[in-house]
Amino acid sequence: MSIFQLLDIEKYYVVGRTATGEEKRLKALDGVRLEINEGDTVALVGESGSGKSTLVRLMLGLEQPSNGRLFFRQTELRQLDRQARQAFSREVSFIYQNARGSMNPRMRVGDILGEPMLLHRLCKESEVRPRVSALLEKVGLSEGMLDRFPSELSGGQVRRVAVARALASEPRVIIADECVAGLDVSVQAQLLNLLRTLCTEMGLTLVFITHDLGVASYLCQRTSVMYLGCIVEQGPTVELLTKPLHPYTRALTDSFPSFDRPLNAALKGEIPSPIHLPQGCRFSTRCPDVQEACRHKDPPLTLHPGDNRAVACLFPLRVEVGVT
Amino acid sequence: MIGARSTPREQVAIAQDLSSDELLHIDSLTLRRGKASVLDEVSLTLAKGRTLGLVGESGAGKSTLAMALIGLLMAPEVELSGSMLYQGQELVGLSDKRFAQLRGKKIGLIFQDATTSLDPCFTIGQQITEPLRRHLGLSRAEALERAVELLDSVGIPDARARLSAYPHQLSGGMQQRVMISIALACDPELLIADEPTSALDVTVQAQIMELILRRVRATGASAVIVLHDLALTAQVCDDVAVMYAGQIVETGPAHLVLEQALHPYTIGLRSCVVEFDSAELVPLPGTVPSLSELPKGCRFFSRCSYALPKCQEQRPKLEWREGRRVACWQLDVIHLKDASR
Repeated sequence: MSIFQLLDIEKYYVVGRTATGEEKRLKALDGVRLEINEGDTVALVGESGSGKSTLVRLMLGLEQPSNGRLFFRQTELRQLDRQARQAFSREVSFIYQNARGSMNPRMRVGDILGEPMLLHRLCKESEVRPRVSALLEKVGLSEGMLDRFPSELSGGQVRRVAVARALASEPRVIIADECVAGLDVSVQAQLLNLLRTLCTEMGLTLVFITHDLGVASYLCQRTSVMYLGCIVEQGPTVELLTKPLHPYTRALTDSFPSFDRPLNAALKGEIPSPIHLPQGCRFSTRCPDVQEACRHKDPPLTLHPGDNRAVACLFPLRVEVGVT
Repeated sequence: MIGARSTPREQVAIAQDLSSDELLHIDSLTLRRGKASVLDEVSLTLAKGRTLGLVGESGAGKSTLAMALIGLLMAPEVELSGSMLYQGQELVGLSDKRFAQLRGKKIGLIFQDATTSLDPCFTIGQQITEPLRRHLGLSRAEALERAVELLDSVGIPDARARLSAYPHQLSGGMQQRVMISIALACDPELLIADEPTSALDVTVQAQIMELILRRVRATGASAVIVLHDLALTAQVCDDVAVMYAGQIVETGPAHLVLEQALHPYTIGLRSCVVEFDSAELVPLPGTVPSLSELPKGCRFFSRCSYALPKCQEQRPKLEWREGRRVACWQLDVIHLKDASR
């Protein structure tokens, strides 16, 4: 069953006016089509400035799309009434990039985790404490953490509390923005295993923003690669990473550090400004395989015949036919 | 060559190679901050033209070692003992004034976070010309010309126009490039970089690393790079030193150490790395011990799956083994297990 359905979502911000009085627009999202079904684990990958976080803000209802329609379980998100809106916020949890910054520094861990339970009336006040303890155990923290403040926790612990808080409202969907970035590999591995176990055990739907392709492949069955506000390729993660169809995906995988390959700066320069989008294909200014036609035509995301992958490229990279 | 285990003769050759053309020789460097033993008898050699990676978890002492090397951690703030010879000159106990003559001139620095390392109140041009005028005595006009060349060489488009820009007007990647150009301004013999790319996208990370390597190779400089990504370390460093709780536990050629690790800690770190085809990650249990309450024996004891009673009592020393130096009592057992795999 479809949980999220995004139809040609656009989001732009007005950042000023030109000399002739026209609006100067920053196009953060430029026609995103995405369907997420119950139990899916989806990674959104791409460089900073590709629109990943904006997309997630729209999915959480924190902002409204400028154009396009966004459905949550067949109802348009902006049309949810008060009651449905509250159910939505219980069902869909968010894990912020900056875990420590997302917690009230004056609240103790026990209260941080208990608040969603009380807010959504999931249990009586007397039951909060044992439920919070059980939750802590689930994320691998001891009960002794209950009375700590966020500032008294290590980087890894604070992320675990963030995961626990996301679980406190008994959600069906977890949306996470770079929640394992900047950690030591040892702590990151623990957290990745925790997230993976939770998703499988509880059958959660996961939308995971990351710039780490390894993390994407470990947690998510499907991946959407974003570039300048568009999805340029999507499909099953392992297939997409090992046999990319879009030159941008290939550039990301080539740049990803590996023991088996030498260092390869596959892309030159940086992502262009979303205020002045390139003509034609948005990747044409940096694409190593660019051809003349690419500078004139913006390719739509089209299904790749033969498998369940889609790519937005006039000249997709070849992969052996019939091999999945 | 990757995969080949070096013979004792090769080990001698490596050792001789290092001593003949040595830029930096660190011997039993120990740094204490109050009760905490932050660095413990660290010994390292860096030859001219080599790139050394420092890896390990937070709290391992990687950044501390880098900061001590450039005299940013000195008495009375910390207690420093042992020796750091830079081209024969003793750096331990060197006055701040003398260090200031080395920093930025002979030793270039690249910090982790360019946003906070560049001064927000000065233009890019002012910040690049400062070391040029101070250390090389260039005139304002000469320094500006050189600054344009430098910015150009690190891949900043429209370099001349950028001279009057302030740091906040540039992207993170561009700021990091500016910092690299400042670090390289006086053609240093030694470049020290503390996680130079950890805040950047992989695409820009690869560009920046390639840039650092290219510049270091072009000038024949050596580099000490603090990194947390093991795969990246294997890609960019000739040698690696794996640090744990203030000690070096394994050090040698990067590919050898990282791909055929011998120390249980290096093996553990390696199994935490996610790759495209990772089936199951096996996280290291536990966390780094507090630096003020360290065990008497091996510091990795509490997290080690190979630990013996002896490990708790006696501290292992670095010993030559299969082309690298490693500090562990249980190498024979690990080796047997490795062979039976």
